[in-house]
Amino acid sequence: MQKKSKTILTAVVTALFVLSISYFALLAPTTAWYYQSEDKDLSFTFGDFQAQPDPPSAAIENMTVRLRGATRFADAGETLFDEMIHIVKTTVTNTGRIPGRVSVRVKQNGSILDLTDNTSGLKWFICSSQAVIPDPVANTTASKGSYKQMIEAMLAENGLTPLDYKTGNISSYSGADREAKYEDYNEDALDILKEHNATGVTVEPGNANIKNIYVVFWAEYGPLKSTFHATDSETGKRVVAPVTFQNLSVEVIAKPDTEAALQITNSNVSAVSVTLSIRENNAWVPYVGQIQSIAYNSSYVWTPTAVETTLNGVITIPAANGDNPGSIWIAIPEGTEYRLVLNTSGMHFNDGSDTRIEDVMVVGTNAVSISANGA
Amino acid sequence: MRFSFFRVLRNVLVIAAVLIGGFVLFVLCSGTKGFAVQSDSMAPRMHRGDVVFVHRVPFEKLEVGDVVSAYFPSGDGVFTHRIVEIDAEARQIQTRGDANLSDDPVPTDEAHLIGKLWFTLPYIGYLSLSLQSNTLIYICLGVAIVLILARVVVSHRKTGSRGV
Repeated sequence: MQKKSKTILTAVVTALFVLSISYFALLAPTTAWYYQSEDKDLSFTFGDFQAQPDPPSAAIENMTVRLRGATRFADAGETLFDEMIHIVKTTVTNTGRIPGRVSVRVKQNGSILDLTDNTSGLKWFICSSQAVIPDPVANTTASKGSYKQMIEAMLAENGLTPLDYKTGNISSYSGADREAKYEDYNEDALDILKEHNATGVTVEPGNANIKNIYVVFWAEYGPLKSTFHATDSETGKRVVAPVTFQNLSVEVIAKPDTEAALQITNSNVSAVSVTLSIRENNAWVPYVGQIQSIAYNSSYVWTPTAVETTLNGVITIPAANGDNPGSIWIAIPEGTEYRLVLNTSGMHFNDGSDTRIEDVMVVGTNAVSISANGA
Repeated sequence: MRFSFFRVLRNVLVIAAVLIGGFVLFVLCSGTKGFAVQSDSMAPRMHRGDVVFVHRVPFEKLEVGDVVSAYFPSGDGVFTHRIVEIDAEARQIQTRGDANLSDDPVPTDEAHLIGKLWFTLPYIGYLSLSLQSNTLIYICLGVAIVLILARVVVSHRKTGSRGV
């Protein structure tokens, strides 16, 4: 009888154990709306384009981008955009002599993602300014973040104004009509963004010119809408459930700066002074701006000096070192008419003149050389 | 009385089984619901691996600052966050994870509310979080049942062989 009781007790205790373990093992999870994000760093050095792989590039492979939510960039009232982005930072150095531009290309699962035409919802924007991301915990003001303002400013320069459903340009629209307005805006915005990203960010030559470039990623609500369950409550927070993009490859690509650049070389053993003017409103105006001065040092190595600001258009072209001319590089918008006047006596431009008037053309075809004999 | 390690162990297991089993039965009978915390969105109040137990309270009894569990609007999944705003007229609450960057993206209707946090237990939630495979669970249960039956059969045979 005692043994029977013991058997029953054992069975009951075992059943209680099984029940307890099963209960805790089968507990449903309680999860969160958001994931954590992480930053990726990429260092990228390129030099003269002739000496590099064509095109010079570097990439982060097999990257996962986790975003805290999707946003509707078209909504001017959206204030949480900057809290929902993911930043990839690239440190770029142009060790060559030719100014370059760095653009970005994104692939997923080995296939190139087109910014304007991909159903993943992933969008990106390249810039060289680092903005402070608002502290989402401490930030209690409903104000737009710096990155969203930066992108909107770039779009505004191209004639695109954000849509304001509350008090502004689409306040009279609702429902499907408002959605259509958002989609129209997005189409236009993405076209501009695509061109902006393809144009890229300038990187001047010079070992000392280390430039930080930021690729801002976000998930656009429109393409992802069908996968979400959130209601379209118009509170200015176009934020819904977290989004993850996997198997991404983020490539930064360097290419020659195709904007117009004026290059002036000096083959003389002494430095030469010129005055540069550009035509504005039918008048010659002394050029005041940044220049890139490049000279050989005693070791016959190109050593770009720091970018300088001219004064009253007067520019000093460094002296040559042996067969290697001193050089000045100036970025002037394509189509600008410029005038160069030699201030140093006894010198001539390569066309034999003391004064040179030209329309600025594409870099590489618009070079001016100075010598004693004008050769 | 002979000291027996196994006797002591058995007694400890019996007591533990009774206590834990009794706790589980109480939870099941009281309508309290438990969930294993999967993320750190409510850190430092609760962490991944904790188990939260919530019980149903009337909507009117909820207050800003209460921690509640609720279904996502789609119904597939549960989250446990703190109430930051109550809209009594719309019968909705706005929630936010203590460690999260901002309020949750949409308010929660009363219909999706599961309950208010009653208490938490640390670490036990790892058991369910790590047991991702239902097959594994069924195997464990099957082994347990076999062991019980084997024990019963062995005991019965011993009893029968002694002619009781």
